[in-house]
Order: sequence, then structure tokens, then C-alpha cells
Amino acid sequence: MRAAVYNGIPTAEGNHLRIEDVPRPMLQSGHVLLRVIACGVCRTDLHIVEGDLPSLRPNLIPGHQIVGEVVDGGTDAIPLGSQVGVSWMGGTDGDCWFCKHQMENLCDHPVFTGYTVDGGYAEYALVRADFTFPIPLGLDAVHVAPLLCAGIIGFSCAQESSASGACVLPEYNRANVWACSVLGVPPHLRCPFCSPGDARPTSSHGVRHTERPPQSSMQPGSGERMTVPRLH
Amino acid sequence: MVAINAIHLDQMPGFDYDKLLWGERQIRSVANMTREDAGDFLKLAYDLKIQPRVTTFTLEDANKALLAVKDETENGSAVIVL
Repeated sequence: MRAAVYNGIPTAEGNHLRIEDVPRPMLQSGHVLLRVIACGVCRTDLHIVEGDLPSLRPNLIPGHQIVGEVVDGGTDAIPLGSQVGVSWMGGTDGDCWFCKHQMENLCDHPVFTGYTVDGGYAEYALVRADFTFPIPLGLDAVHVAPLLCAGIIGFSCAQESSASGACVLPEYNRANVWACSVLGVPPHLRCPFCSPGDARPTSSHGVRHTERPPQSSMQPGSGERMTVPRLH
Repeated sequence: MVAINAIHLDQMPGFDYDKLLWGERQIRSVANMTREDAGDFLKLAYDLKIQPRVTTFTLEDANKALLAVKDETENGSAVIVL
């Protein structure tokens, strides 16, 4: 298969990636083989190929915002032909203190897609079946791919920012705009799910949105106020 | 509260104390994501019809895609399409 491979040695042209033929990954237990449809390019990929993050593999296929079609190893949950997404968290041990306390994001032995294992800059990707996310019909692969890191993380930040329940923030204080500004997330991904004044629908876990009376001492400025949904 | 996520971040930008931190603000980091986060967000993305702007690249142009992200030359996310 064709793949973009990082081996730590720039090409003669100064490129970080070599576009070359590599063996298609073999199916392993608990995994599915995806035909990659689209893969978003994240700034973390840059950190990897520019050496800001230590190299962990002699040859690595980056890419952790993958949308692909299941072509081998399908399960009842994600049958052959279904379209799934894969993000940075490619696996956890499921056994450490963090995993047992609903904090798998802090797992002691994480698998990072496109960093500790090969990612989606390739025609095919082998991923853990239980770390794929079915893509709802109606969301197209190219536009979903960039949401699989920045979108999810921005969402997580917004939730943490309103950890005590739904919170009301001045417009210019949007929590995940702050977060995204620090992150370097591009403006077109900022805060799409909590526009000022919007009451948003429920999720599978029941997004709540409650209005609090403005507390001027906690809200400098006179910006428009918004409600950030918090999952419970 | 300000929540900050970054896989790699060497320094946090400065925060203006008078405008941003006065009033007992909190700053916390957010590391990685959970599957629950992903599932909830994707449903929300579907419900809200979130559709970011994208610039597509072929796999052969993966280096150009990385460069576009580095130089912020595209008004949208870079996506490699196979």
C-alpha cells in the first residue's frame, strides 16, 4: 500500500515524509483493518515529524484523525463496509487506576494513533476495534476527519470549563476559544457547539443547559452571554 | 475556568491578569480524550451539522499538507484524501 512514512531523516528536498510502498498491515485479534478515506492533519503531526515529541518508532506512519471503511475484522458493532473514525487515543490497558475510574484519557499504558502505532497517512490502517467510532450517516468523511482531534478535544475542554454544571460566560470569554487559542486550533473549529445564547440539544448522555443569572463580579466586560453544555 | 489541551506545549501564553484572571479564575489542563467524549461530540456534530472548512491534499502531497499546517497558509483544516 502507499503510505507517508516518517523515519527521522529528512529527504533531499527537506521533506519529513517519504511517500512509498509498504506492506499492508495484517489483521490482528481485537483490531479492524480500515481502508482510509480521509485523514486530518493535526499540528501534533508536525510536533512528531519535527522532533518536538521523541521518536518512538524507526518508521512511523503519522495521522490520528482517520475516517475509514471497515474492510476486514468487522464486528456486530462495526460491520464490514461501515464507516468509522479513529482519534489520537488508539487504545488503553483498561486495567490501570485511571481506566478503572473513568479516566482512560490518562491511562498508564496508552496507545496513540499515528505515534506509538501507525496512523492514517496511508491507504490502510490497522486499529483497535474498540477505539473506533461509528460515523453517523450524513457526516461526510472529509469534513469529519478534522473534528476527530481538535473537535473532540475542544468539546472536552468546554465540558471541563463548565465542570460545575452549565456555565454562563461572556462572549469574549468563551472557554474553548481560550483553549483553542492556546492550542492553535484554527478559528473555523472554535466553539461550534456553544454559540452565544444557543440552547443546544441533548446528547446520548443528556446534555443539559441551564441559565444562571449573570454574576457581574465573575464576568468582566459586557459581552454577550452563552451557555456551555455540560454532560453528566 | 480555562481548560487547556495540548499534546505538546512548551510554554503557555501570558494571561492578562486584570482582564482575564481577576476574580478567582481557574486554569486546568486537559489531556487526551475518552471514547465517551468522542461519541458525545460526534453526535453533537451531527445534530448541529458542524462542518469545518477543509483543504484537501492527496497522499502524495502529504508533505505539502504538513507545511500548510505549519505555515497556516490554508483557511481551514488540511485533510489528506485517499
